[in-house]
Amino acid sequence: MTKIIELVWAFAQIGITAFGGGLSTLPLIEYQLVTKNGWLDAAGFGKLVAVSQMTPGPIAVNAATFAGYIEAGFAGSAAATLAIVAAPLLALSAVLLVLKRVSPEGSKKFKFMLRPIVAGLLTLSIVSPFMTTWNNGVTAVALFAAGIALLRRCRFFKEYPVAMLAIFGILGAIFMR
Amino acid sequence: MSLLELFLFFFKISSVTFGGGIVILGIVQLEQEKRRDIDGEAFADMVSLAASVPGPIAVSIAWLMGRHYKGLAGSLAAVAGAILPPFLIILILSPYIIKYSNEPAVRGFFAGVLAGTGAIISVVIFDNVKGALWGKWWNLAPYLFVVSMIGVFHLHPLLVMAAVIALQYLHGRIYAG
Repeated sequence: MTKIIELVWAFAQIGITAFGGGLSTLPLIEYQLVTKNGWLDAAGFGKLVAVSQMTPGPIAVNAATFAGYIEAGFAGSAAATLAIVAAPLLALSAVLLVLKRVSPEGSKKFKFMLRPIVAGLLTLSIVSPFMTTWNNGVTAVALFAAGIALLRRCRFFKEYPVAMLAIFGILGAIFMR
Repeated sequence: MSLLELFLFFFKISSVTFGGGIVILGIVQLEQEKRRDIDGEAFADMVSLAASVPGPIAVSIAWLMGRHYKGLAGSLAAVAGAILPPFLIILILSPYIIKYSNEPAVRGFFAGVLAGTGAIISVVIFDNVKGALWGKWWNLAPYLFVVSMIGVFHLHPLLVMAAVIALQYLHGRIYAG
């Protein structure tokens, strides 16, 4: 039970700090799961990132379900998922309650204020995947470099990055075993 | 939309959308434009609000659209539709990932996917950081503050973000006179 409460607390905190959504949530998840609670090591966090990217849905929800399952089975995954959804929705409801109708201008200003913060979080989100890739050896680093080139040069992969991830996964299973 | 329609609308989008974040807003917008039963301005307000509150964007936009059609029940139906697909997929995969994650081929697969994810993050960072900082040099201060306090000093992200938002607010106040 303590584990469930810890999970809920950790993911509630991730939820209410997850401005910008998507990849910029990764450093927040890493802070709670790796740095603070020690539930995952670098390799485990790498797995979580890979699984979240390969499956549909918000990364934070994927991460909550996966980390919750590892820590406390089905109950853990349900509790962590509910926490990451409910905490920000409570914040959203509070905003709606206070402002009644949010002025588009105010929300635009706030988004502008958030931009450098989201950019900072995004910058941090590369650290762990890159370090793990670096430790995975020269093939992994070559795939990383090839990935950047493909995303920049090839329209197909730019539109369907998941296809690239699937191909890289298969290449990894063959050449990095 | 009825409750069932709201649920299915978000269930469908959430089942096939990878990457989360801004991507899902684009798809909701395209689907919504086909239906034409929320006026453009009200929808733009919802998008703007969903992008500026914390938490997964897919969840916030589901909550706001559900609320627009059917109040609280609508919100709950839409959010359930948005989180069930990723939740179920990860829940089904997790036991297998844990069981086989030390098989060399599975480890290689994750190493490949993570290398590709690193490439995706790098490309996203480059565009995002350029957009947030280029020509807006004041933004360097909050950007560097977030990167150093969370990345180097491992301070709690919630504290760091509260401090930066306060800083940004004060700057906005002074700058506007």
